Amino acid sequence: MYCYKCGCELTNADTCPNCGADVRQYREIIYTSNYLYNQGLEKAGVRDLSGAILCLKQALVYNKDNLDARNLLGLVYFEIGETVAAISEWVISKNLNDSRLHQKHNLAESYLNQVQNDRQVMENISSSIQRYNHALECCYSDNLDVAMLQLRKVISVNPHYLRARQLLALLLIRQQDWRKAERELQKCLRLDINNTDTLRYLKEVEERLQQSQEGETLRKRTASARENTVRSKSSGKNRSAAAQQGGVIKYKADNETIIQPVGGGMPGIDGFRIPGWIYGLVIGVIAGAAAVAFLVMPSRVQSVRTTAAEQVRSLSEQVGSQQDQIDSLTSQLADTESTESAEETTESGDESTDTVQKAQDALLASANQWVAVTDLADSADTTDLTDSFAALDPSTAKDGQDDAFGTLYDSLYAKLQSPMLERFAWDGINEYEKDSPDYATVVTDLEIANRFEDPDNLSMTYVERLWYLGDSYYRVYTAASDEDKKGVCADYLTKARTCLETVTTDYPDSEYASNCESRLLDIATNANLTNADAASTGTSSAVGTGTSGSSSSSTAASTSASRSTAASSTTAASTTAASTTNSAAAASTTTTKTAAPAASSDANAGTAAADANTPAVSVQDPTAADQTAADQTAADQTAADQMAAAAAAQAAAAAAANAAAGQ
Amino acid sequence: MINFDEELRKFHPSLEVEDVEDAIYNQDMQDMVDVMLRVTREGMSGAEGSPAKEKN
Repeated sequence: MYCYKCGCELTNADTCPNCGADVRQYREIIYTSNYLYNQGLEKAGVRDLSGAILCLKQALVYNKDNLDARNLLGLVYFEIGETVAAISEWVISKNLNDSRLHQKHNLAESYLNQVQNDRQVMENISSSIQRYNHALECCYSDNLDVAMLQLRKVISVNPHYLRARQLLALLLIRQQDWRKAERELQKCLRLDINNTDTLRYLKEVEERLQQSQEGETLRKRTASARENTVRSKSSGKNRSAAAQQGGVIKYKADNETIIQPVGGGMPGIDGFRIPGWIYGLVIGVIAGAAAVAFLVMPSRVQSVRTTAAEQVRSLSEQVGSQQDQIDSLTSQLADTESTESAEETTESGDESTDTVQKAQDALLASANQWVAVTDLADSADTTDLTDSFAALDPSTAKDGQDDAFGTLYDSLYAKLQSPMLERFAWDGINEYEKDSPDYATVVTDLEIANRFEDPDNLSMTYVERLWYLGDSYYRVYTAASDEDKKGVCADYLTKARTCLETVTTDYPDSEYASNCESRLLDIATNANLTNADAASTGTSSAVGTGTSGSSSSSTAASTSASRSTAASSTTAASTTAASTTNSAAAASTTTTKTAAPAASSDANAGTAAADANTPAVSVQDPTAADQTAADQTAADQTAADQMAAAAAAQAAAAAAANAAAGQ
Repeated sequence: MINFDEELRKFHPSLEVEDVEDAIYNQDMQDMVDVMLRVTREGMSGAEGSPAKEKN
């Protein structure tokens, strides 16, 4: 201690040893300042910073030169975030020391160096102060949210800023966020345990919290009581009056009355409560369906697909094997057909070879016989000759033969044509006129005779022979067995009809015409007429009339026209005439009026047509070699055939009238 | 019950760093020692101002 006047160091005396000034009061002031400093120091040691500040301020009031007190005060200010106040104290302490006191080791200088030399610390301090002032302004302007944000920022930078934390706690109390406010206030207490504001706020918050806890406890109690009453409802017990009043629960929490509805669980729609087990049931169903869909179904589907694929594969294999069989069988069939055709060709070749050979043999035999014959007019002498020559069919004798054969044949034919015709014609006629004629022999003889008939110069017995031949055909057919009817005699009806129609058509005025008509009626009524016609399609050569045997019916006229073109040596025009003849014959047989108008219209041309029709008849059998010649002849005879058809129609109509008159 | 507005008034803006100089200059540095010296000085000056009182 030094004298306040002279600065001399004092002793325990009441006066200054140097200037003699009374220092008793001065000494008491200094002692008091020191005592207060000690108090402040003690409080600062237990973090009663508010008390320390008061004591230290008081100490400085007594003695402003108490540097220790001033430095400690600055330190306390710095601890609670009042940095500017701290710096002020330290600056004053430093100036006092530098100007008057001159104490060594003044702590203020070190404090100032630490604070002012660290730039980051100064910036943080400056920003914290600015944010705090801004937050305070926001609080004044009732912008509490922004203020809270600013304060949180300040606290994050400067956690020891007590005033900022207290202000934040105040804002939380304003928002009735008691828990957070309590947390902030507890932190404030850790900074300054005896801060009045902190204690006051904390007291308020704790009271609020206590009230809320009491209210929560009461709600829990009421809830438990409500559950108990709900459980006891099934047993018929009465509900607690305290837990329920008209369906609601009332309790008071401080100045507020809390009303809660009665009834546990969530209310239903319009008061309807859905039982909980239904939710579980629905969820279980959904879960089960999902499990089946995602776990069971894929395996089932896979198994079904696998089975189907295997079946498809097996069926495909079967189809493939069957297709292979089909292909093999088809190839076999083709081979067989080709083999058969080759064999047929061979056979036909063989047959044609045989036919040629036979013709050659027959011609040679005939030639030998001819040489041996002395009198051609002697029928007994020429029997063998005619028999030999009869083996040659004039229509096919020269097929496949060389020119020498043809020349020889023609020579012999010219010589033997008349004898042949005469012999076989009379043989046939004589045979037919017997009491018990052999109609088959008649057929044979008359067929041969017709082969050698000269179409340009018909014999006198031609018509007679046609009648005999046609009738013989019919008789042989009717007498034949069913097997022969379908075999050898299959075409006899057709041939018979052809012969008879030739007579009725071309020679209606002959004595045999009526017989032919009646026989035609018999043929028409025969049940096998159609089959016989179909069988006789390719054998019309035996008819001798040159018309197609298949043209017996009007319905088959068009078909027979095509057949006759190929099978008959006659022309297509003759076929047309035949079809027309057939229609006329049908009209005559059925006594219809259809042919009559046609016949009547062509009456004038009927006779001439009948004569003109003669050349249209050919005795030669149709062959493929003569087809071309026949086609050429067809064009020439078209007009003649048409006239013949008209005449035939007229004749048929007349015959029908005669038949009707005769009946 | 804490009144927010009333409590809020107790909070004052903090001095910024730039205001330290003004704060120091405006600070009252008179202490008890100064008061005692002033009283002593005034006492002594009063005694010199009245010499007749002291001769009597």
